[in-house]
Amino acid sequence: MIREYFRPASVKEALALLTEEGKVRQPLGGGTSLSRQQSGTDGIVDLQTAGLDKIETSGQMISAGAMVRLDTLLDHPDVHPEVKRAIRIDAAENIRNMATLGGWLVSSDGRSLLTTVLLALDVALSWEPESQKVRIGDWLPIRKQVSPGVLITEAAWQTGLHLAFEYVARSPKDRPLVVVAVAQWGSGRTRVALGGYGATPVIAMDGPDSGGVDVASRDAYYDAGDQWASAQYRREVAGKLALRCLQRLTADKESES
Amino acid sequence: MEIILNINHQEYPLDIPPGERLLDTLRRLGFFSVKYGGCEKGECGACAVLLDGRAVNSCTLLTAQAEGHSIETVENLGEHPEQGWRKTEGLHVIQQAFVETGAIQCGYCTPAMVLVAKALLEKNPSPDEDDIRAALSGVLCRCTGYLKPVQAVLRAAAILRGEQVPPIDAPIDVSDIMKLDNSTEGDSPLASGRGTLTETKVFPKVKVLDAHSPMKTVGHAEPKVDAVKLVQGKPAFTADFEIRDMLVAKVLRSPHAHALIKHIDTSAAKVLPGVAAVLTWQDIPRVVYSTAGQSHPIPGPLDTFSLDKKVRFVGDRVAFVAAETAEIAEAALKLIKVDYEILPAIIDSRQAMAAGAPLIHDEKEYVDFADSDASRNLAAEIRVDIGDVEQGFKEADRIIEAEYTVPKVQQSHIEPHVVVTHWDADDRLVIRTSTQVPFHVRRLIAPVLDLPIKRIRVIKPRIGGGFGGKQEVLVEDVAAHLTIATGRPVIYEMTREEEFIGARTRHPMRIQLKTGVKNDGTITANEMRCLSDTGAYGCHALTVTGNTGHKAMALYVGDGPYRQQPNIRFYADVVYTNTVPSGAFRGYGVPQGFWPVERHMENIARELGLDPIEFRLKNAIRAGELHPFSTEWSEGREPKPETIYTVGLEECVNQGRLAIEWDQKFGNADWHAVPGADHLRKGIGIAMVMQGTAIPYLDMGGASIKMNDDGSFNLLVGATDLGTGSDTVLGQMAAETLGVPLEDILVYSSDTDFTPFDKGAYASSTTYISGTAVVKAAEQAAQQVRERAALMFAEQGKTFDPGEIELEDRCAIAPSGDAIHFSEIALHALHQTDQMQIMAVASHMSPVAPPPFAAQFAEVTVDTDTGMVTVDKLVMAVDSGVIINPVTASGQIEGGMTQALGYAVCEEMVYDEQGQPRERDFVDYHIFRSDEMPELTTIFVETYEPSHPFGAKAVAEIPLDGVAPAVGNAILDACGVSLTSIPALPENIWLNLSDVKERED
Repeated sequence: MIREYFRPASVKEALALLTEEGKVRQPLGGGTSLSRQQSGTDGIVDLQTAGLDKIETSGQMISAGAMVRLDTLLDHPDVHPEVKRAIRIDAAENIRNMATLGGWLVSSDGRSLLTTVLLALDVALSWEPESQKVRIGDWLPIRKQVSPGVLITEAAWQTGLHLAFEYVARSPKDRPLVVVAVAQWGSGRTRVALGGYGATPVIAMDGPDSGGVDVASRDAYYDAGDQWASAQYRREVAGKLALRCLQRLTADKESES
Repeated sequence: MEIILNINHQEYPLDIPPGERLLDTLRRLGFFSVKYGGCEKGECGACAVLLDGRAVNSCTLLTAQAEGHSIETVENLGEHPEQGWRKTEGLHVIQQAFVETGAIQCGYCTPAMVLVAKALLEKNPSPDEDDIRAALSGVLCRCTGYLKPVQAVLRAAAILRGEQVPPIDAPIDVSDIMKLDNSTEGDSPLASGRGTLTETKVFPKVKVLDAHSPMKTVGHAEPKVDAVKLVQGKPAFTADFEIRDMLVAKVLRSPHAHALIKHIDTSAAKVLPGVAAVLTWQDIPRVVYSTAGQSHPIPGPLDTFSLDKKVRFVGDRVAFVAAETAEIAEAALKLIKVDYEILPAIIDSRQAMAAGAPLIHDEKEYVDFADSDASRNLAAEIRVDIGDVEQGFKEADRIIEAEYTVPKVQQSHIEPHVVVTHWDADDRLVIRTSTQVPFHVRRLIAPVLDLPIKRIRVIKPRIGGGFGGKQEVLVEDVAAHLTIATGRPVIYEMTREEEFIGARTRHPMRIQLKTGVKNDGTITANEMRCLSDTGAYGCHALTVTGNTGHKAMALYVGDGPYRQQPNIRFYADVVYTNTVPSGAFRGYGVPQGFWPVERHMENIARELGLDPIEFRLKNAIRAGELHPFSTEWSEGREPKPETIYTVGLEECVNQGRLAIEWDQKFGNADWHAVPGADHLRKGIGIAMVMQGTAIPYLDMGGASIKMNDDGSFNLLVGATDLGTGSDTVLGQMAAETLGVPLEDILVYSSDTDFTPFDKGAYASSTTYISGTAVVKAAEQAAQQVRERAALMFAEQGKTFDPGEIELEDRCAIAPSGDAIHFSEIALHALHQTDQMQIMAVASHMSPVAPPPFAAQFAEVTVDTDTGMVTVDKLVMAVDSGVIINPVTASGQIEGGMTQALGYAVCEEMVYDEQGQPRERDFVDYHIFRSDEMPELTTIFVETYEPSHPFGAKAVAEIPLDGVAPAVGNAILDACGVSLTSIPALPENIWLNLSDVKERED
């Protein structure tokens, strides 16, 4: 039952409220998943005025505050078109007008396109207190058990790299059954994330080049069966989609040159 | 906590609980345009408001979050232009466009859509179709298929930019549909999802086969009579009515698929402050009944109790609670302790009648109907043999057999089931409920409550969609029992999860087809054996499944001698399982039948090397022939022969194939390939379908009409407009008959105290049955008007026979040209000479059920690496007789096709071995969003049905029938995969693709 509502004016204030002894309080992003009355929650710390809603670009990096709404990402010129495409599929208009990046990362599951794409981008998350930096791939698998801090404040990722994702769903905007997102750095580094299954997306590969993306994807989904699709299906399709992503990246690069 | 909200530019100081949702605050303050869709995660968007100009869902926002922001609701937009002596600016341009374009059906999501459109146009005055579809994507609509809302926004944008827009009521000459299609290219480019295809012209394409006289109101795109109120978000729905001291009801539901309640302890719940009543099976009378909203006698078993000591599916009722608030009621549910004895459950219908299967209905009160047999878990049994089927098989050159399956799916009306009950001053129980069947509710619930029918009044306000889900007495008893227990008003509103686990669904079926066919394509015999799963209760068990054969197996009678003497067999077992009950869902068994029949026909045609269209038409029923089932089966009653007089099927095929460019695509290898994408294959498919129009010798509707002092008329009907526009078309027929504009017909439906009986909104019957009753009543009233006019002319010294007097433009016009205005006639009749109330009552029952026919086409793209299907285009050419209102009727087709599209590709309800449902919300149960829709085209082929006064047949259900098989046939055309089950899941296609490749290798 929510008995208290706070709207701190800074991260510092928010941290103080969230760490007050004897209180069980939850940080509130857009509200898409936390606004319902919950047992075990005394209070809500609404972060809308905590100064976490900025997007900044610096060199090859873009950093987005945890309270940046998904629709704001859509409007930003430095956000990769594939990230925007993932947002449009994942979240309908009303949701993306409310949902925040931090809230999405905390509450989305393995079937989220956006989270899968961000995992492929190797997003770095900033946590407070103590300004800890944690890679998304290190945090997602353990996010329900271990938290690097009290509050996500920022997500940062590199711009200018190549990114493509492919997915399978029952309809174009249904929750996907298989997602493969491939990010490729100028160095050749290739990182493949898989979604459409489980509690979180997973990393299939992070290597110096693109060799074996299909095998890695198949292997990563070796046991990915549930009520929605069999492991065999996800395995085989993931391999094909990984190759298709690579083909698109190659085509992108050729068109750029 | 104390906050100040800025709502519609006004400040509201409030003291609210910190955990209160914005939705609840706004509704408490009287902003009823903000609707509750029952969801927990903002999936439906009916509760949308603008927050600082952005559309957000108020059900997922805390009220406190909104402080410091500007909140806008539809109440801030326009209003009716004339408020007595106070004149206003009228509706907002966007609202007006929604009214004019027919973008409003049930109207439940309309305020949210209008707000979203406003936000979009303020940001982008010249949106293309993609922009509009993206903006509307957060508001789910189950009625419209989104086409007309998109047209409304395009139209509003054009008007706001100062551009001319085409008139709405502008019929299109479809003498040459190719010419028509070409003509659209200039003013409206590209396709949905690819720019802007949708036109601001909304009048659908109509091909008139049987010419009839032009009419002034019938056949015109009159705006819906309830549109102005709905677009303003007026408090018109059940939950919008507030009564002092009203309690909130909640239902404890079973976590087990099959269990006995050994002990139930409600003591802790009862003493929770704010709890007014807790009821279990021990507290109320044990009365067996059926929840199916059907005519007397109920054509099915009586197998249900309001509360029972046994639960039969996950979600079955265990206890009712009434409390001062929803939160208290929910807390009370958690305090009820139930000791269950878990019983073995039947989840797979194939196990239901196996030896040793657990009995789901072993209660002694069970009442059989026809061939139900609870001792075998059999809710209904059907055995129909027409002609000599075995002889037909002997005469065949080939016998082709296959088994098909269709899934359980949910109606998914956006307004949940909701009811408010209270005692009136005369100690009569008033039930205000979102129902399709108010009169059936009153009759069926009376014994359950131990009240005589005369002490119950059922009021049906506006309904936020029903689609068959509200042809059920599903929530009324909950609130009524609690009102009886407490003496206080009670509201019970289902959550979205309850809709999925505790309401009704479409019957899943396993269907075996066996068809005998000669090499020339003549069908010699056709057999369907159906295993239908009614879930835990047998509501609609017999009639839905009967319809599966009655319609789907009636279309193909065979050719030559078989046409005169078709050989058809339809056997069905309808069995109980421990899953949420099946029931009525738009189409009522027919979509289940046409999936196998039309997939089977496609396979036969291809196996014989015949053109699939010619093969179908060769065997299809034709005008002047008997409905083959009419001599053998009629929902458990005595069958009577019915001749089908109007069949526009062939012209539907002609028009549809032109619209989808069948001849350029079918069999064209180049068209099937997608340049630059070897893994994609395009395909095209067709299905031909028929439905029924009402139930002959059973369905009855009544209407009464009375003239007012100003010459306007009150039209009272028991028919229930659940968003379909039936109030409007009934009004149009009355207006046409009486010679007045529609605005002079004040339509009211329905209230069991005041409106005549009508069996309700189902079986595609309202335009046909209730409409004929309306015309009969209007004709009687018109005759009284003529007689009164003749009397008035006589007082002027002019003698005319009443029969010579024409009624037109609100005047009675004599052959001489002399005219008397209706207002003068009304005053004369009510106040001056031989005073009388000009008034008439009529009812109608039909001896026939003339079928509408349709050709449905689909174009798809299949990803052969993954099996993912994208439906690119749906075309439906339909013979529904004369179309009373082309805009509302085309809205029915578009919305129906969209529901059927979900049935084809993504909607299903899955249970694990313990009977736990996988789908509990609109996240997992996906219904199409506006931004993923294929292109939709509707064409009306007008025959003139002689058994209706204006030549109409049904339109509402037939669009559900052919989309899935057309999509299935298009998938076959694209990649060689012959699906036997829906939805067309990617994995299923992928698995079959492996077989296809193996065969090819």
